[in-house]
Amino acid sequence: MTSGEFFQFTSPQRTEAGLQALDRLPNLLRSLGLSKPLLITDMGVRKAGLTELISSILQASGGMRFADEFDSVPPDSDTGTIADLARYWHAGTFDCLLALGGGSVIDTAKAGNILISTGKDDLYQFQGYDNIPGPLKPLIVIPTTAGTGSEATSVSVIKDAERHRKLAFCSPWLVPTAAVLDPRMTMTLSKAITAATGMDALAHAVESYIGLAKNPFSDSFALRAVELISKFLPVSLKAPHDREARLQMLTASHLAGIAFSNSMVSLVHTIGHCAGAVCGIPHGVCMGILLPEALRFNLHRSASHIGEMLLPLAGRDISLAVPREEHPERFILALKEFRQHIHELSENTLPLRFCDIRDSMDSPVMTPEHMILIAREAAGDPSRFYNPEDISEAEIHAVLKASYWGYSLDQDLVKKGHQK
Amino acid sequence: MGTAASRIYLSLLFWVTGRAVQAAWRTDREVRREFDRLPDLFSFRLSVYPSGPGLTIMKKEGTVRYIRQGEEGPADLHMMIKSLSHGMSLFTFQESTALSASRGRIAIYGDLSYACSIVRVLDRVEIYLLPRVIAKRAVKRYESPPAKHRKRFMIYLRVLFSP
Ligand SMILES: [Fe+2]
Repeated sequence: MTSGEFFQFTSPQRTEAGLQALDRLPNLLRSLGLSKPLLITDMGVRKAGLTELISSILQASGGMRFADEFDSVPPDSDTGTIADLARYWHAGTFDCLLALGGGSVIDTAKAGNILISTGKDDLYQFQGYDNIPGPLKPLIVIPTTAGTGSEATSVSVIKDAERHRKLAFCSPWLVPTAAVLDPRMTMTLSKAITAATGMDALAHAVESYIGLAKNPFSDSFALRAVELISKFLPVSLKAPHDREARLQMLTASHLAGIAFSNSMVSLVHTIGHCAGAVCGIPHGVCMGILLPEALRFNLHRSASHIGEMLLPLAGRDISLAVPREEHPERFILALKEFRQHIHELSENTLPLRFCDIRDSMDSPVMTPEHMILIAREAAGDPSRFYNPEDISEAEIHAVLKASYWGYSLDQDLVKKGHQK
Repeated sequence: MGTAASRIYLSLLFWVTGRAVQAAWRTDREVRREFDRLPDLFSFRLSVYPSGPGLTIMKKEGTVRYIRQGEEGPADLHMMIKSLSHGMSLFTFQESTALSASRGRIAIYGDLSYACSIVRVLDRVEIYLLPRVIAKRAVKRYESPPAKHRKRFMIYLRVLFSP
């Protein structure tokens, strides 16, 4: 965007972050006038002992406790779970939702909150952009991964179990009331999840920085996020119990979340969402694989923006040594080098190409038929609105193929548009 | 332009665009393909907040029709342009529908994946309706459809004369 153009930015949220940030949770609840939280989480989080930790923090502070617990959020939550959650809420007496978990738990809490607050029983009527009528119940989020940034965003995506479609909700009312970033929640994450979710956060920052809805506010958040990820994702993998690094990654993911909540994401996510849905490949893994070539696709439109991210990603030395006009290409290279580094630090658990992802029979998880299907499905993914260049089915297929084999996309394949 | 003049201008543009969507569905393969993705009895409305002007399109029993103002029911997908001035910048082709939507000037009530199809249809229709130099600003990526001039002529004929 150039100066003088209209933009809007919303971040109506309180954030508490620190090595012991959760110790302040009782204070946070009190200051918001809340005392009867319904905890929403999943079995993985419970097994990791995180709910107990929070329980004891609440208990220690004047005997506060969860009013009740809803811990049956599945990894891929759908409208059935949301309906259960709403029923659960209406059967008890609660004054807020407390979501503890990763993307699925947080999106479930957000979508559940729509039904809870409006008293309606069908989410269908609320899908879309700016289609939620007013403020929702207070929602406090404690993320247990550093990647989705969903604790900061205005977006929730839920599977519609009946209609077999995805329901997307996007409204400033969905931004949680408060987020608490505490590294004790992410310290036990495996290397594979740390690496993949870190790539997701990086994709949010990068895509919000090049998308059509970019603006000076979201830019600042995005650039800082890129810098923090570049510094602290490697440390989080080398020393998983380094609290400082874990906290910085939570912060980065949150910053990237605020950025993309306002500027949205584009091509990497357009293809990534569909690859995830068709082949069941984890979201963060798709992000890591697709980032370089999806950016190369946009080079002719977004070269200067892509180039501006070289400094935060690769640091001063590289950025000063490379002539400015080479910054865009160099950024894509730096991204690949960074990814390679993360791949090694994660003990090869972060795949760099789709062809390396194999099932138990050692066949590739993504088949040529899948690629055709993914390219077709991508026509309906709303993140494509925000991509700087329009993209055809054939072009998506080309980006996918390059990312599958790990070669560079031929830029001549891209039909260059006209609009600035 | 004053408010009244803007309203008249937009009403005319909505009418032409709505009729042209119907005509393009008869004329252009890509537009037809987009509508094939949509369910039967699907209706779509693009209008200015709060109560118009606007256009409504309905797919019914395999055909796509522009619904005259006043005869439309509730739409499955409603794209609501948030103000008259936003409507004007969209329909004086200063920015594309995708850009308008991404800048938060359009609220979308309904399935966003259907909205993707509709935005592509509108872009395609604008390529037919407008001279190249203007259409380039109005759409995200300008691609000349095959036999553009012949189809453009057909579409204009249908806008003006088809029932
Ligand atoms: Fe993501």
